[in-house]
Amino acid sequence: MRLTRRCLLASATAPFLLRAGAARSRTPHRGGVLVVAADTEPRNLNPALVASNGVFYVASKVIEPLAEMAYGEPGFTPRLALGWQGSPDGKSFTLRLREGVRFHDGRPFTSADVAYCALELWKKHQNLGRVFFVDLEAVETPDPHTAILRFAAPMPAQLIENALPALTAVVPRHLFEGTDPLANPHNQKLVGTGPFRFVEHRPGQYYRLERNPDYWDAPKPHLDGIVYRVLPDRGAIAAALEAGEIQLAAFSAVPLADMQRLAKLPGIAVIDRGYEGITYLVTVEINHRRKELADVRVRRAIAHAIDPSFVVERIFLGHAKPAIGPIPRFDTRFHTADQPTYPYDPKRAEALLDEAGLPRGPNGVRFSVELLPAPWFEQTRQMGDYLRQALKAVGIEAKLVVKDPAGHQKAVYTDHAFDLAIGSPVYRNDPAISTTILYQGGLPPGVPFSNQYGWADPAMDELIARAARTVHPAERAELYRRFQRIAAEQLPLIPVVEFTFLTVASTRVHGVADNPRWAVSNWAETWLDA
Amino acid sequence: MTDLLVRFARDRAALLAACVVAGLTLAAASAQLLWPLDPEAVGGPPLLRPLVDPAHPLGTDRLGRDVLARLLHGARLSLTVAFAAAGAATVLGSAVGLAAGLAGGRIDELLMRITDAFQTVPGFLLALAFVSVLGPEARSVVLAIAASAWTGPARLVRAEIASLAGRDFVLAAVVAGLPRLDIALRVLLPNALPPVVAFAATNVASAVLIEAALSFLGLADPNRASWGAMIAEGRAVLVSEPWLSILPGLALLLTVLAVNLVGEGLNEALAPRRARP
Repeated sequence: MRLTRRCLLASATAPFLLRAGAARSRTPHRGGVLVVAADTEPRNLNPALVASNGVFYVASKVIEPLAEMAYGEPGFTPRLALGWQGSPDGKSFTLRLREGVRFHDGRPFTSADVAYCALELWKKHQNLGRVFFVDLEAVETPDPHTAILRFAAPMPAQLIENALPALTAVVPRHLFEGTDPLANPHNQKLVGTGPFRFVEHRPGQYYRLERNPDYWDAPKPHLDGIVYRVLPDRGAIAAALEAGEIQLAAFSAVPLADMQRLAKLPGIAVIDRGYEGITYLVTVEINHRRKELADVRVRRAIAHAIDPSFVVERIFLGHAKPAIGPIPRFDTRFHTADQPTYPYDPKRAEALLDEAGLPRGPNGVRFSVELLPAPWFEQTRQMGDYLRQALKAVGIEAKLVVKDPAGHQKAVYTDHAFDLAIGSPVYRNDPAISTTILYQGGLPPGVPFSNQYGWADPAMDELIARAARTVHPAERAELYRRFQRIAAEQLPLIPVVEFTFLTVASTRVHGVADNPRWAVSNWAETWLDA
Repeated sequence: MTDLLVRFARDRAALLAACVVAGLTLAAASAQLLWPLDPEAVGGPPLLRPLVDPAHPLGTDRLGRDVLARLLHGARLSLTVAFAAAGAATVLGSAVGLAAGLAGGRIDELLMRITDAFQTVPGFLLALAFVSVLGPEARSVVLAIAASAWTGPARLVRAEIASLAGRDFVLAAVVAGLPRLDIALRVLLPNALPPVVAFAATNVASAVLIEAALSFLGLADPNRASWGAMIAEGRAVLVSEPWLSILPGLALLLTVLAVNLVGEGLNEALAPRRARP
């Protein structure tokens, strides 16, 4: 508690120091405790088991992955791995590991830890790894600083590389081996190699991390520690920022409308960088079991009926971009602008619907659908309100059905009890990680955020399978460009806008948003004005 | 009857409140004629303040929807749900109370224990549970509110029946050889009803509040404008654009206050002996 009070005092004087501090120097100042807002307290905080942004937000400072994303070429910063190389046949991937790294309990980090995590944690238990590492057969450790991943089928090195930041957090083998990993106490009391050590978690109050003096990249980190104050209410987060009780809130924890107001306050900055590596899409998900929606002309008509700029301006208040296909523009390696688009044109939409044999009835209605907006983002709910009106304008009557998150997931991805839905899939740095699954046919019901739309195209399935096995990066990229063209032509789902989150921070905080996954990276470079 | 009206009209506050309720009901019923804008149309300029643009006299919300149209259509939902729920609760409660009061003995005991059971659960929680299970539709909201509100009328009617049963005019009816059912419906019920009617008004007021609270929590039909949902949506911009929450809040306040005052007035008018001189 003493700590909190000290922070409060420190931040109370902040507005006066602010400009002088910023002008004086860009040299990082060492020391100070950063207080940030946290809005969830995940039950399992181990990123080797749960690869999700809510977990990473806290855990990525304590437990590091093999590599982190970076702006520009080559797109990666080494963390626990110094370098990596895929074999020409795609069946092995060699990692050269950093030497002289110690876990927070003093034991050295070696290739045995990587081998254990890969085979026992990532492949067997991790939400993303269970699918991603399905072909991983063995991990060889010829010496303590080399690990060779062996695959049963060719795995493109580029794909593995792209998965390194999110899927490869390393925890110590000696604390997990021989236990039930899911029940291990170190899923809460984290032990890793990162710049900060885990000190304590007071449920409902805070998480506290402190500097790791033995960090391999010493004298980093700049901060003495990080405190995550648990503030589940978004209004309270905005108020705490204004009052200076916290210095940073990530993941758009403040309502967008409030953000515009906060941005005008002295001493507070809104930062829209640092999330490109976790870009979200707003999509219209379509149930192709409805005969009207199985007609591609109707799907194109729906796309023409939607005005993406309205969604960007009104719902996202400018903090989004109209989407071109399912791969965000940020990822220039894979994104192509050479694909069909469906500009806002209600007249064209009506013509297409007439052509599809769906004329307006006596009451002006062509057909009726049930529309399920995903309840987890305020914006997806508002998108539901908007889409209902947009469809009404072209003669499609939509009835909104709003469920709680679990109910929504079950209705859409298990029971297929919807006609249209508003979804928000994440693009995770490679189309093969969480994007092609939205288009792949023949998946069993119940796989969340996948193609549960009743749409299957053999050409598409073949393309997805081929790309997943293609080792050569340029060939692979070309296959994904073809994937985008088929996706846009057939339009099994409609990507509307792409968006990333925003960070609101005191201008005393520096070293913010210096990589495309900043909020979920290790914050070793972040510092506070004196 | 005229007697009753005169007594009611003597209470200025109640008379004014009755006019307000009547006005609200009329406005809600003729929302389309009165203000023909579609409450869901998203076309307008966003976050327009009230009294700036004559096309949107009360301004617009974040998606550019007309606040006046949404308030009027919200009134329609609020009042329909509230009157329907209070009506259903009164009918159901009276029937249970009447049955209990007339039958006595084991049946009375059983019915009253059931009533107790319902009364021990806070009304709002019961409504919350009902709507979570039945889904957020106007019909299930009515049912949910009625399910928690029928206990009051039931106890009231039973007590009235008990106190009326020994009166001379009831005994006279028995002696005259009227069938039991006739005695119940023609003699007992009309005399037991006045306090129930006054109580129904209180029920309407609490139904308006429960409906608003449910829709504030997102448990209302998302296809229709409702005051609670408007307040909830306005919360995101509470600091910069407070009127988006204040206007539906005022509408709610006005409605509940007016309905309560009418109930009070009715109560006074129906029980003149208790009225102040």
